[in-house]
Order: sequence, then C-alpha cells, then structure tokens
Amino acid sequence: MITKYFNKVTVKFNPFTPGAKPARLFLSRIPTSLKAQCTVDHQVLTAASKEKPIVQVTFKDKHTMSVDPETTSFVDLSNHFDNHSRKLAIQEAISE
Amino acid sequence: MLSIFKPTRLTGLLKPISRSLSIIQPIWTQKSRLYSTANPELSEKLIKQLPKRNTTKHVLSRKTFLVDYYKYLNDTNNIILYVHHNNLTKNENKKIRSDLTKVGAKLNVIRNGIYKVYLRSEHEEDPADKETSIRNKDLIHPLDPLLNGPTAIVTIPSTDPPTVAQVLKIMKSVQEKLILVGAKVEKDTFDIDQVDKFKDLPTKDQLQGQLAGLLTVLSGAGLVQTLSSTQTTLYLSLQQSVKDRSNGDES
Repeated sequence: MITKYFNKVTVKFNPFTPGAKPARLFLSRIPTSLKAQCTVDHQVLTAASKEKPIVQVTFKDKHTMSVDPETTSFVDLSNHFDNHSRKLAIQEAISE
Repeated sequence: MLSIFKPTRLTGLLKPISRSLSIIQPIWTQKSRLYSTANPELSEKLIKQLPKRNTTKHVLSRKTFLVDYYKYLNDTNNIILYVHHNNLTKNENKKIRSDLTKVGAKLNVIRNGIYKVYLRSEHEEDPADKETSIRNKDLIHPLDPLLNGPTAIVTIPSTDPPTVAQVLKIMKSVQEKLILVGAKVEKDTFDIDQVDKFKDLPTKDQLQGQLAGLLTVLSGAGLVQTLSSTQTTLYLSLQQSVKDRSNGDES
C-alpha cells in the first residue's frame, strides 16, 4: 500500500466483527515516519454505537476516499487507495 | 493450577546452545529433527524428566511453550485486556512496558494463531494436547474475533478496576499506538463500553464491604456473621446443617 500521499486517515471499526481485520491491518500499515504529515484518527465501535465502520483517507490533493471494511478485504482496500496514489505519483513525476 | 504446565525458562536457556550446534553440525547428520528451542541430545534428556504429554507439536517446541504460557497467563490473571498495537518504536515499547509494570500489569505481544489454539481448548486441562485440539477444532470462542491483526494482551493479576483505569491512562499517552479492543474479566468477555463502566467501579474489597454493610442494615446480621467468619467455621456449620438434614431424613 502506498501511504506516501496520505494526509489524514480516519478508521472506525468494531473489533468483534469480521470487518475489524482489514481496518486493523490498514492501521498497522501506516508507518511511524508518516506521523509528521498524516494524522491518524481512530475510533473503536461497540455493538451499541450508531456509527458505521469506515476507513477513510484524505490525500494530499484534498481528495477523499472511503471504504467499508465490513465488505472489503485488506488487499481490495489497499488497491482501492493505491489507485489514487498512483495518479498522484504520476503527476509528481511529470511536474519534476 | 497444575504446576507441571507452568512454562519454565529451561527452553529459553537451550536456545543459544542449539544455535551454536547447528553451525558446527549440519542438520542431516543429526539423529532427529533440530527444533528451534532445543538440540536433540539435550532434549532427549529433558523429555525424560518432564511429565508425559501427547502434544500436537513437539513438547519442547516454541509453539507448545507458547500455548502453555498463554494458559499460565490466563490462569494467573483475572483481567486480560486485548490491545491492538501499531508499529511501536523501541523507546515507546520500553516506556510502556516499564509504566505498566509500575502499576502491576504486564504487556505481552501474542501470536494470534497459537492464542486461538489455546482459546479453543481453554476449558481443557492441557490445551496443547493433540486429542483435545482435534476435539475442539470447530469451537469458536467469543474472544476469537479480537485476534486479527497485531494483538497484544495486558494482564492484571487481581480484579481491581482502579488498576484498569491506570492502564488505560498509560495507553492513552501513546494515542493510536495502543488501542484497547476488548477484555476478559474473570470469565466474562467485555467490549470497550463495558470496560469503561468497569474501570470506574471501586475495588472488589470495597464492593464486598458495601455488600456486607447493606446486608447488616437489612437485618441479615446472622447471615453476615456466618459469611464473615473464617472459612473453616463456615464449612463446619454447613456440614453440620447437612448432617442434621440427613439425620432428619432417616428418622
């Protein structure tokens, strides 16, 4: 997963549901070195909470993408975000 | 608690020896398979000293050791907090561990697969046993879903809510690096809301005191006296009442 272009990350998950796996793997893939430029927001949900589990990424160009971890695997989820990251990478390469 | 399954440091001690041996001696010249934690000659001697067990993995293997260790941790601790950990740096790791030991808790990073093996056969005498693992193959423990992704456990020996509050405070200091996902308190599975409520309770002793006070007020003085007297007298009085009852049946 390309994390270089992430600006803000929001992760909400209920640890007792299967959707916790992609969400937790996603959280663990964000390196410590990214801390300066990327803020990580997390919330642990319970059966009583009304909010829905979500993985949301805001990129450097203010583009926001979100995924429902309950229905996607971690591979699909990272591919989804990589799509936009690759676009940004190409743009960066051209502008250089 | 069965003392025979208490994990020993012995297997850990064998590690450097086996490493040095594996350099001198190629694997195919050895009598039996070289396990990561033991060498064949030493392990043969050691197995004879240990109680006989029919484990899925080798008795001296790390996997068996870990199952035993998880059993030991679960048997000796009343509260177990399940924590998601995120790329802890060396310094953070060191700091958190020392902070936790100060309040009487301990952090253990666990191997999910092996912990699941333990959880499935939690109720058995020997979770590492071959037959019990086959028997409980399809069992799903309520804590099972928590073991996805990087997981660690924080163990607290006594049922003491203030300690939990302190541990949560320490975890908050590192923000998203340690995230509480659930807990096991005595035999119940708790989610975060329940842990939050639980941590604000007074200690178990205080609660018991309150209960005793309440009972006294509600004119149950006799009951309180019986319960608060030493266990032997309680046992004797119970036994006496059983005797009385059986005598009554006969006559």
